[in-house]
Amino acid sequence: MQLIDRHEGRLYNYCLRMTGNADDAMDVLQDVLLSVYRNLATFRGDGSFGGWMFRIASFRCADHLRRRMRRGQEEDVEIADGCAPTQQLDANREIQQMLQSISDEQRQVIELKFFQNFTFEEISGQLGISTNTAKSRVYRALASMRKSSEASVTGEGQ
Amino acid sequence: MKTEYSCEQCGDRLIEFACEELSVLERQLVDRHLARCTGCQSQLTELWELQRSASEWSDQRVPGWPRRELFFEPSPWPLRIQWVLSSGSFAMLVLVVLILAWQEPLDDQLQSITTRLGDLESSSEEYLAGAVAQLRQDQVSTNQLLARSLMAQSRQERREDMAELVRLMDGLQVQRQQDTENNLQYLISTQIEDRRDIEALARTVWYPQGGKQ
Ligand SMILES: [Zn+2]
Repeated sequence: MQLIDRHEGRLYNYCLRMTGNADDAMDVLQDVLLSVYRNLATFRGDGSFGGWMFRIASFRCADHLRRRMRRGQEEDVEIADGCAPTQQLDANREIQQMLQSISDEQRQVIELKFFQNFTFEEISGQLGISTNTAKSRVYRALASMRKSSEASVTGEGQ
Repeated sequence: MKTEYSCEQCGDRLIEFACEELSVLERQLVDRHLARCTGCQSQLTELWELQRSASEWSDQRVPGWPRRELFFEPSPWPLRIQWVLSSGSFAMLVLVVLILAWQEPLDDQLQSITTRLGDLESSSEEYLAGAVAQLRQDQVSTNQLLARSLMAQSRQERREDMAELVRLMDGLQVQRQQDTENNLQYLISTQIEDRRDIEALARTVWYPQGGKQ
C-alpha cells in the first residue's frame, strides 16, 4: 500500500509526539488509519490528502487523549526500540517531555505548525478554530514551556 | 513607508515571521518593530528555540504491526472458492442435522438443535442481506470517489493518491467480504455450540445404550 507507506511513518511520529509514548502512539496510529479507510469516501479531493488525513488524525488523537485523561493514566515518556542511535533518541525524549508539559490543545497546534509545517489557514480548517485562536495557543504553549523549564532548573538547583 | 507595527500587530505575524511565511513588506515591518522592542525579540527567540527543537526530532521507524493481515492481504483462497467452501460447510451441517433428524427417536436435544438451526438460517439470511447492501453501498462510494477524482484538478500526486484510494477501496471490499464470511462462520459455530451437540446427538441416536453409560 503505497499511500499507507508514504504516510504511516509521518503519522506514527506525529502520534509519538502527541501521546508521549510508543504504546499509545501505536494505538492511535491504528485508530487513525482505520478512520482514514472508513472515511475515504468523504475525501472530497479538493484539498491535499495529507491535510485531510491530519484532520482525522487530530480528531482521533484528541479523542484518545481525552479518554486517557478520564482514566487518569500517568503519562510515561518512554521510547521503545526504533533504530535511531541513542543520541537522537535522547533528543526525541527531550522533545516529548517538552510537549507533555503543555496542554493537549496547545500541543496539537505546536505539532501542526512546527512539526508538520501547515499554515495557520490549514490548521484553522483542521481543528475548526480561528487562526487567532491557533496563534494564541502557540503563545500560551511558549509561556507554559518557559514556566516548566524554569521550574525544572530551580528544581535541579535545590 | 512610515508605517510602524504595534506589539499586537507584530505578535499577530511573529510566528509566520519565524516560519518565513510573510510577504516582503510585512517582513520589513516586523523587522522594524523588532529593532526597537525587546519584548517581541525575546518572543521571537523562543519561537526560534522551538523551531530548533522541532528540527532535532529524528523520525522513528514504525514498529511492525499486522496491518496487511488485518486490513488488506487477500486470503490464499480466491473469493469465489471461499464462498463455495463456507456455503459448502454450511450445507454439510444442515445435511448432518437433517440425517440425524430423520432417525428415531426424536429426543429433546434434537428438537432444540433443529430449532436453533432455524434461528441460524433466518439470522444468517438477515445478516447476508445486510452485508450485500453494505457491499453495494461501498461500490457506490467507490464510483463517487472516482467521479470526484476525475473532476478534481489533475496534480500528479493527487492522481497517484486517487489510484491508490481506489485500490484501497477494493481492498476494503475484499476485507468486508471476508468479514462477512468469518461472521457467518462465527454464527454457525456459536449457535451450534462447538458441534459438540452434534456429536452428543450422534451418540444418543446411533448408540443410545452407549450414550447413557
Ligand atoms: Zn513589541
